[in-house]
Amino acid sequence: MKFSILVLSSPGASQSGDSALAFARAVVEAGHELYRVFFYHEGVQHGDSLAVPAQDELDRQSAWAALSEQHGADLVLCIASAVRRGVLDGGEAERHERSAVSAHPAFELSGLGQLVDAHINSDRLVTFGR
Amino acid sequence: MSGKSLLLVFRRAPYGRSLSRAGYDLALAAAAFEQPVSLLFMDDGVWQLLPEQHADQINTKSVASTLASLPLYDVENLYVDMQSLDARGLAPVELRKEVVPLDATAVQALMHEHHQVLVF
Repeated sequence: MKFSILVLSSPGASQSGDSALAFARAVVEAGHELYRVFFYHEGVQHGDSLAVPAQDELDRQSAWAALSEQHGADLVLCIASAVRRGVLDGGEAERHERSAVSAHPAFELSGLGQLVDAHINSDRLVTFGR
Repeated sequence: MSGKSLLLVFRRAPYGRSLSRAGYDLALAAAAFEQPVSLLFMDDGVWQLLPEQHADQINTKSVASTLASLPLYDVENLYVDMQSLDARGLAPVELRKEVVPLDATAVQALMHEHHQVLVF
């Protein structure tokens, strides 16, 4: 079965992001395909590479990046949500004349069309962090 | 309209948090990609449907104007849960007139007939 995941909450604020990660791992371990993980609203903070997690905490960003690398899952940050929260890739930093690039390279900034596409092309779309 | 139907459920009051804005943006995106989309308002989400909103007084954009613009993007199916209205002392006549009130059985049917349900 083809799964996609929608993450709406920021990494530190609730358990939801961790539940999403655990679910994503369970999906691939069970032999299903993880088509896309779409980070929307506060969820885009998962892609902020300038955030420094505490040393005794799980590094959630590296965990997502590893999952993406090993299983080819697409990690997409909603571009409007991301830019609003200071999560910028090179193109957006230049376009908005900001001094830093903050988006982690494993995450791609793209439009809501990618979420609609995930809805169309996945058997299941599962939300975390409402 | 062909495609995979999407039901967006709004369960939060319109202001204070921006999550409902995310729901409206997704409704417009789905419509732009020609996917049939319906909106259901329940629980505190029913407050979004009051026509008189003065969001400028709290420096934010009015949900009422967003709702008014939806038909321009072919988002025309708006539903409200009657039980949620009753619990808040609201009547359908007080809401935007394009919204269709549904009883609990009809709400259940609405959820069943859509391919995907997302909650905001």
